[in-house]
Amino acid sequence: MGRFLLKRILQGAIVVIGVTVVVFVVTRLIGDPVRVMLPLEATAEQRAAFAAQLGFDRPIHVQFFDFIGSALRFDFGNSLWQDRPALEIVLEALPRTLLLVGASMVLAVIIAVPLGILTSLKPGGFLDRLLVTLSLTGLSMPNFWLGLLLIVIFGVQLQIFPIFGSGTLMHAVLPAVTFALPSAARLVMLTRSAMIDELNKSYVALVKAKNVPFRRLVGAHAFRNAAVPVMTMTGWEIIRALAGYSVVVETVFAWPGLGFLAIQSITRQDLILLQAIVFVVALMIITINILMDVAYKYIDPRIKLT
Amino acid sequence: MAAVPDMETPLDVPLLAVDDLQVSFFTRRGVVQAVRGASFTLDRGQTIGLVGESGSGKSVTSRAVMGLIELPGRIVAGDIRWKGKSLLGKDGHAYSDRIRGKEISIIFQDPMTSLNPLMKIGDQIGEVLGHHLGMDRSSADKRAVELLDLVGISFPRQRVKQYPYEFSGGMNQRVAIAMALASEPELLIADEPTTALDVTIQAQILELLQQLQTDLGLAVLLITHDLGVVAGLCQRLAVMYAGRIVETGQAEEIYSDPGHPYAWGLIGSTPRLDVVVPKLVSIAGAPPDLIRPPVGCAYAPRCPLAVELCEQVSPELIEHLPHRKVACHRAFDIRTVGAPVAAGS
Repeated sequence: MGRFLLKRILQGAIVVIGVTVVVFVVTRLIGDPVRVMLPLEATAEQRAAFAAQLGFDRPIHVQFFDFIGSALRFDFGNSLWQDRPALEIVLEALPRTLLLVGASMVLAVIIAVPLGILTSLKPGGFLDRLLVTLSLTGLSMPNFWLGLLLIVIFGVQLQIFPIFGSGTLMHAVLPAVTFALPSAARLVMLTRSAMIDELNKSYVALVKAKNVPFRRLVGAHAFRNAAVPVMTMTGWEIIRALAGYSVVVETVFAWPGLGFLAIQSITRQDLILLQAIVFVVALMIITINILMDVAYKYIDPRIKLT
Repeated sequence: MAAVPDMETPLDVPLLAVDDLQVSFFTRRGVVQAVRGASFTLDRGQTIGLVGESGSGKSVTSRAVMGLIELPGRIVAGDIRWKGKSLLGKDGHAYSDRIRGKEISIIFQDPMTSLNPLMKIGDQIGEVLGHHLGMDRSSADKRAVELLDLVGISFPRQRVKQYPYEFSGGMNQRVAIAMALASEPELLIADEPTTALDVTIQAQILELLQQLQTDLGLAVLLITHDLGVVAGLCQRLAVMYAGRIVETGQAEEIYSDPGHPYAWGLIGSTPRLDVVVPKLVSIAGAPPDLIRPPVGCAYAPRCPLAVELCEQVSPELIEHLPHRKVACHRAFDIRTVGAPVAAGS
């Protein structure tokens, strides 16, 4: 286990360096950071001064090693927009996103797993067809639209929940539900098909023949086996929420998390802040992947962690 | 023979009586009549081999006894009685729930897939002990070790903590047998128990089954397509063809003097080591489509002895000799025809 973790962390570090290189290439080589960050009407002198201030006038390889070196020390420089360390700003926003994504994934799993199991027990039945239809609706609904719909219904019409910002738990409800519903829809479908696969396997027939309680057949036997793909998918959902949907959902609800921050750093042309965000998100994804691998081992003893 | 007690067990109620069982599968293509009237009985401590080729309905029959027929399959007619009481119908349901998995247990063909890959084998045996015998965790654990020892698994104390993937196929089949024996059953159904195993392992498993059968006084219903497997283990034989039982009787008698041309063909197509057989014969043709089974005898199209009557009237399973029932218009006519030859062209 220790060896495995060490290996995965080293692999993760390589990925982080890779991500950093890509960010560097995109910001410094493909685009001109000075032109991106300064307004169009800036004079040549202003541009030169700005480049000198941030070191963009140095040779590219010097900039590269400097950038990698400071990135590995988690030093991205000061945000242009807020004029304080970019990492500090990112770390302020991170817990809010983690809270939202965490709550929504718990919600999604709580909704999806029992429903998926229930539908798998009688494929083609009324409940199954109803839930499959609902799931299809859920997963064809764009996040931003679902968010707006929830705002209109629960925020404006019924006035149960606040419609933007953060501060209280009530603020988190609508954005968390917006994250959770499409994820739940996908997870229902996956749980259902994984359970149907398992229930048709030979070992389940033997468990039926043993005539142990049905609950045990479903829970201890079939779902235990179906849990492996369900867990993989949940990990995926967390990653997609962190790295993609958070931008949309947090913007819709003005939730001051990483996604919202990313959009703001883009609109304010703050490349330094954006780099820090990308770096931290990459780190989160790698961490989640390692945690998932360890969790597999606990579910399936056949998996060897090497 | 519906209500009449079976002639072979006149004194007592048979342990298991399958009476004119009919099982159909309602598929999109049509109604597959997998079992079209199977009748046989089994007494305490007796062994019977249910033999037939793939698709003859022998496995479906065994699943019906275990209550494992699921939609689109359905038992459409007939009865399965355990110690004289029906396992089917509304009244039978509660009764069968206490019987299945407790007094009747089953082992399957492929031991590598018939155990839960993610559960320790001790726990898989233990759940039977817990549920059917009401054992607590610690006594179930102890008993699981004893059971593994009983089926010849060495180091049982370590083995209970392992998973099926850590075992070979033969060992997993031993585990499956231990699991089946855990509930202290009176009938063990072995559905092709050796088909997925190597020949040497097959012999070991059969030997184990035979030994357990005598030691524990188990009744065994052995489902197989392999007459060689039956020979060593079963006193009685029921030959199944196209969803019907075509011949029943003492195994040895059927071997030496088959009454049904299909049994005759089946024996002729089984390789033997003890007798010099000039040429292994195969039965020409294929079993009928069970969506549209023939009106007459299902074997008639493949039968070398078929006459016009065979194609028009389906023969009943009739007692031709003492303890020998054959469903054939030309039962025992093979005697006059001579050595087995390939049927048809």
